[in-house]
Amino acid sequence: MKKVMIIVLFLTGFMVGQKRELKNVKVLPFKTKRELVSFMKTVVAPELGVKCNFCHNLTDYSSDEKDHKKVARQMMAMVQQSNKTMNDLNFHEISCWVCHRGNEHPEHPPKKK
Amino acid sequence: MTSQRFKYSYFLLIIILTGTLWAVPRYALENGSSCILCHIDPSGGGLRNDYGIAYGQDDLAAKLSKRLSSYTGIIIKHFQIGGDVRFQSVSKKKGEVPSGLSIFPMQANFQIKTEVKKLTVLAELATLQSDYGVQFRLNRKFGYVKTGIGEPSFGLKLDDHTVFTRGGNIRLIHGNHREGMPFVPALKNAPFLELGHYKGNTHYSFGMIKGYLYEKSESSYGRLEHFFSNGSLNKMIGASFFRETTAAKDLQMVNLFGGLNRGNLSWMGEVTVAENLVSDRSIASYSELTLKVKKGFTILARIDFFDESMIYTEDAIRRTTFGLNYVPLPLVDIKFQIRSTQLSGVVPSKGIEFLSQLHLWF
Repeated sequence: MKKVMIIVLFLTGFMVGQKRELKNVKVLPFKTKRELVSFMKTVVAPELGVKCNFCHNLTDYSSDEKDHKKVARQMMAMVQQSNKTMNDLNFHEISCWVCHRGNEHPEHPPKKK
Repeated sequence: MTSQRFKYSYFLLIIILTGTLWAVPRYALENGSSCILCHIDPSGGGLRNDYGIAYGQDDLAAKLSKRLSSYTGIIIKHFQIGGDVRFQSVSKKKGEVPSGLSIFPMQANFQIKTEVKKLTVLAELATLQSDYGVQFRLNRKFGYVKTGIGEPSFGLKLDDHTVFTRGGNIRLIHGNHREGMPFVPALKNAPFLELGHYKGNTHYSFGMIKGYLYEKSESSYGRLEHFFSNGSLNKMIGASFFRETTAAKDLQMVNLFGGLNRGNLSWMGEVTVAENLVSDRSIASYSELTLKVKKGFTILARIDFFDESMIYTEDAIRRTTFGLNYVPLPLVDIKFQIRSTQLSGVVPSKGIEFLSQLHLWF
């Protein structure tokens, strides 16, 4: 039994599986997992006041199953685009904090009566 | 090249030495998230994922050397390899007379993981117990189905098996029938099937395991945990049950656990009540307060308690522990503890124990 399991494990592993490269990273410019995880942990999660499971399926961080992840990707593309403009205007770069201020959803000004 | 040699020397150490998986649930509480945030196995312990490795480097270690800052786990082809090794030493002193020092390897596990689309395969070799485990897990959008040879999820999977809610004193040093709950490290992995589900910050799982504590027994178990977090205050609450039935014995255990974390201060605790562990009803509890003094340094105070008969005035054991956890570098964790045990009734104190543990992981 033990031998069979080891053989199955090795065979499945050589078919398809773990790779060192980043998987399904489309917008962020990082080259390594370390850079990506550090950015998520120190910038994205605290600036939105959320934990990883807000966007990610924790059994597979790379999957796009959760809608929040798809929205986050669009938001990041928006921030990147804004930063290009900011750069042209010689302004500081912005991040999620500018709008979110530690909240899942940015606050909106009260409606005028 | 040096980095490669460093990795393989670790690998060899594990093969020579490499029990049961232990975890540090306090880290889950501090992150306000379930064990799977850092570990490959949703039940926690063992091989870390990318987040777990980065957390070890950025948040746990006092110092991050350049050599280790680029460490992202050992990945060879389609496999991720990892391991945990723990050595422990215990020195006992009764009055002024030292009564011995024992140093022993406590855990030496070697794990290998691979993925095929939605299927995660995790195999474990526990050389100290001559045991092995294997887990086939099919990941779904909000949960998983896992099967193989392993152990049940129950309560807080603490990294100290001598805590009474886990295994307690394996050698019955106070003359009781039992001195702790049955999760001793010598238990062998057994065939299991488990279903788990994540809903927001709630994780629950149900499973069945065959022949885990006793031969020819059948067990069912379940565990529920929920995390609340508002950014500065993290709270965790959970419950679990375990029922193991043989022709002669019907062991039932119910457990409640929880924790609070604010900044550098954390409290965690759990209570387990067991029916038919000894003869009637037994209780074990654990309560731990920790303070992160600075990065890499944590001090702790812990009280754990066990009463095999729930009479409280006899056979009850209370142990008070003060300790220091020092994480000098990623992949290295050192613990120093001073423990004192009090017994109920007129039985004199059993003296002070000095305990140290070296934990290496990769």
